Amino acid sequence: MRCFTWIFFIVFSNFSLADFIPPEKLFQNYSVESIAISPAGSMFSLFVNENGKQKLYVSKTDSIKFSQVNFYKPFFLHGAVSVDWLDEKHFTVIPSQSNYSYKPIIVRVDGNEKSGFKTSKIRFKPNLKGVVVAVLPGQEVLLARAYGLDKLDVQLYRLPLKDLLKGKFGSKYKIGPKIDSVISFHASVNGTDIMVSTLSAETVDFWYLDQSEGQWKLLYSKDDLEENFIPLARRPSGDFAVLSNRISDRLSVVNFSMKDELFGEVIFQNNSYDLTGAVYDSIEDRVVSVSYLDHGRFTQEIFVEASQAMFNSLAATFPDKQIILLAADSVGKWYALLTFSSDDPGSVYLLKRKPLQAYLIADMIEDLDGYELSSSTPIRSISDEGKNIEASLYRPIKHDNKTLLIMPHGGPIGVRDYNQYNPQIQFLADRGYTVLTVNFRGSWGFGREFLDAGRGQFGKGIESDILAAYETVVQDHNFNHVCTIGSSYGGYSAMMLAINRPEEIDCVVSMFGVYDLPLLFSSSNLHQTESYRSALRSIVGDNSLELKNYSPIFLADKLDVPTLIIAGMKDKVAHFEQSSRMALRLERLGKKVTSLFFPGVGHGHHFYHHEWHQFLYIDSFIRDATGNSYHASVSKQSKVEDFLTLGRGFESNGVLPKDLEKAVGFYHKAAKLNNPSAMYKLGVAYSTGRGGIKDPEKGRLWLEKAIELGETRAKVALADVYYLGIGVEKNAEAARDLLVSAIEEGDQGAHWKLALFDCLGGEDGSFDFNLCESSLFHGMTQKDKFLDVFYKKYGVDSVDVLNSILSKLFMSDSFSQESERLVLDMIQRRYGAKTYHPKFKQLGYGAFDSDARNLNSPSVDKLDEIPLVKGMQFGIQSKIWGDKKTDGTFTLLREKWFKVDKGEKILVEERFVTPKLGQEYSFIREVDKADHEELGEWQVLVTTLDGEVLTNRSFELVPIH
Amino acid sequence: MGYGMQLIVGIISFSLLVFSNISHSKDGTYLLLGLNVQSGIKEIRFTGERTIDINQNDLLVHPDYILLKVKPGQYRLTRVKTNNRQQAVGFEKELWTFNIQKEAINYVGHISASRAPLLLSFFSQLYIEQENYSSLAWKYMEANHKDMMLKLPLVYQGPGHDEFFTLMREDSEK
Repeated sequence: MRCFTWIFFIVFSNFSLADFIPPEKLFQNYSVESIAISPAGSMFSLFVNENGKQKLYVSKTDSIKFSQVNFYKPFFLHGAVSVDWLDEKHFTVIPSQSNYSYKPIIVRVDGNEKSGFKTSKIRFKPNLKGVVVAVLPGQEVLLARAYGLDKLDVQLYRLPLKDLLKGKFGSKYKIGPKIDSVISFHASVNGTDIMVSTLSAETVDFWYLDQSEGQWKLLYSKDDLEENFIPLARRPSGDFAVLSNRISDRLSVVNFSMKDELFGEVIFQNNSYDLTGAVYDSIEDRVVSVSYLDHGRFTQEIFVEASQAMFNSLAATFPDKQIILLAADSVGKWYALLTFSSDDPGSVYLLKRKPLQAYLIADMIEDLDGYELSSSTPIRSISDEGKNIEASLYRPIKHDNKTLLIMPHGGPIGVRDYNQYNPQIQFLADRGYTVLTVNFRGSWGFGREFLDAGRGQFGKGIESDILAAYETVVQDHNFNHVCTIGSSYGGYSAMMLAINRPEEIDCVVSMFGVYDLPLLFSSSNLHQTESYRSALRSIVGDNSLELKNYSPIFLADKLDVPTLIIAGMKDKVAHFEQSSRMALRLERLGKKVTSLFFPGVGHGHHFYHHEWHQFLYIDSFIRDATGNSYHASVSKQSKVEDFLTLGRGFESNGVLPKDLEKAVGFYHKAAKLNNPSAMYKLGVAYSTGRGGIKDPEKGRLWLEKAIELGETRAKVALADVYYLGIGVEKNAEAARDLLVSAIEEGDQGAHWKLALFDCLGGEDGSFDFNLCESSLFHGMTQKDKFLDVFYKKYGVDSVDVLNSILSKLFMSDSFSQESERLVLDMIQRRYGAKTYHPKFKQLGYGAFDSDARNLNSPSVDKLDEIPLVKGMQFGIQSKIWGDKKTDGTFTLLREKWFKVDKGEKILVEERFVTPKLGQEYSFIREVDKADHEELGEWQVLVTTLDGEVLTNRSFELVPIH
Repeated sequence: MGYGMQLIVGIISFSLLVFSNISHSKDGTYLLLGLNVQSGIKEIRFTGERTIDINQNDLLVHPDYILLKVKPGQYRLTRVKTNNRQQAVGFEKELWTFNIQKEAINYVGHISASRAPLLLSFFSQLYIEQENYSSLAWKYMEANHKDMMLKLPLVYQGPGHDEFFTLMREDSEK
């Protein structure tokens, strides 16, 4: 915790690091979710994200020392991220959704800052469900009590806090009748005016509680989603001050008469921008403050002198920062602020009014402290219709590669770019790119006319605005290359700009975009309803033949630059078919197109690490497309990190779409920079043929080179090469030497490999039992309970490896009956238990899904005849249990699969499996080829170690018709 | 079989496995249906000139696409059943109807059927949608039934109007 005096506020001097900012530092959650101060200002609370976990802390304001609040489960259910203090000892948790069906969560805070605060939850009688929706002056609260199936029907209670804490909610506290389908509440600061909004099938309705008549009165009803109506306060005249854009182009503070249902005078309006908020004093009958986005910057105007002076001082103390008041007490002593800017994710401060002091509570992304980020420069241009177009330019701090990226935002209607921290822009700027963002026509915040001007302007007026900004920029800056990049509408726009300006645009990165405008109307049968089509027409225009003229798919032959198409295969917003067909057509036309299609991803990523992998790939793509090599100032290590991260990302599905060929490509780049880890990966790929490239000679050479540079894992891989004779003469001795050397260097995997070699014996079929046992149980005493120790020490994977070694042992041709007896005896001794005879129940059998071991549920119940399909799995689902003492521990069973041929049983596969007692377990076989040999009868036999049969079932694999 | 006949003998359903052997067909009218069906879906039924039942076994054998010879005419999705006895019925006619054109391979879209668990509930909700994945269907036909594509046009009969197949055909004829 750092404290800064008001006058002598210290400004950190940023320092620049030569290398790239690690992407995982740029793409991450903000640390603070919310902050709240108690009414008298003695306490405050802080909701934070710590290592992906939500935590809540409380502290005194005048001596900051945090105590963590016990995290109640309902917090998670609510998705709650904020609290509201009721008095100096109690706070309530605010649910994130409009659902009043939970018990109110009220927490009492005891103790002091020295011993730490203790918190305890107030318990209410079981039938009370509801939420404290407002804290009113005079120790009163407004409680919304829930009724009805959807839990949105509420009865409001206005009651003293002390009665709420005692659970006394007499009907005398009821105010107004019940009201249905409530979505939000609003109570004026002095508690005299209470308003709610409700949702019906076609309208959002605003109601005012007439407390003299005890009735809800309809204030306003709106059916236009684009129309804003936010009640601020009731004026002394009886009319209301509301934020509305009904009678004015821009969202303004307007007088609304409930009696006449008419909008009247405009009380406050900004000349250029929609208001984003306003505070109205109903007693003084005046606007206290308003806020709006000036060139994307959050800007506040304050009309009360005392507050104005304070905010002026704040502005001087935090130069170039945007400042938002997050919380305040009721007595004007303590405030909480967020300061931020385009090159600063922000910091949360606690502010003491007298004497003025600011306490830094937390940086929103602490990992970025010390890195210099790119700040936006405002660009003003004029559209072909003579309108002002606001844009922002982000210049690289270092590694300038003289490449401009035009980055249109999504939407396009009602969305906008902000002048605040954006990890994607900062990532690109950090890698040497200049980024241009544009609030083109259709963007929010510039009035309704500007917003409506974007409708039906796909590929027309919108792109004209973007190009106007681009032309303004290139008047003052020189670039060697220009590329376009964007998501959603921005993806469409990126493509259209390149089609329309082929001579200027060098590459396109289009993410989650649309490319076939008529397809917007035909991507799903659920899009055939008039309401959907009408909403779509209001954005894209009529579904006429003309849309084809502005659809990249129909203009694909004009796209002659390298193009990267990124999409989520579950995207229903910009339907995945959009990207799939665009990529297919470009490919067929022989264009330079690369695609990254993420399985399981929708319209954008859920996880930051997916996003930063994606942006690493984008950087690599643009470098290849433009011929930009890394700037001389970028270190070798930084480049190697990029290549290894990308290689690993492509190796398994999830982070990036699985593509071993691409992975190998990146490992090659890292190997060229002498990285032993990449050389090892290449060695394995070439030796085994993973990634579609098999070249044992190359594989061996890469492994040897990696070993020279100290990569121990390469020794284990090279041991395999010699043991199996991959491109070399089989040489068990060389393999053993390599493994022993790897073990000396601390490689745990080498132990298993050595055990496998020793247990499977030499070429001549010799089997040295003692050597096998000592290798298998290396480092363990006879007293160790094998499974428990190994699960604890090495995790499930190691036991799986061990089981697979045992299985291979038993399936080995050189394995004699005597050896089997010895090994079984060894397993029983080593597993630390006598052979266990569990109870067994078959739950189902038949064909399983491909991820059957996870699902543990046959997709087809009781199917004896299984159609033969490659990759299909079949078997038994069972429950295995013992007694109270043993349930939860592992047992060891033998699973044998036989093929029955002319009445003769041939053992095809034997495994040792370790099911957990008391749980379900599936015994499954995968059909790895769909040929005639697989057809016919199969039997599975599950026994205990000493041969007691638990189950024995036959299946018939039949040809598909 | 006419509609009247169906009324007399009840709904006659044909196992897909009877129809799916199309390797020797040289002409005719075909339905191409993409499937994006989660486990637990037991039956999908289309009614029209004939009733087409896609059962659990069909889904296992043909998990991605079903291509079968059908009579031209109008068809409609009428039922989706799950193996926990959930059943979705009462599909509005206009949203779930498609036409099968004579002498063509009629791609009618992909049927997505999944069971989404309801929050804090033991029950699940059936989610069914007919989606347009024409490019995937085009790739499937090219990879598996290229000869057939040379003899019969692949036409779009899914939701709305779509010119993608025409565009791809024009490209390949260039």
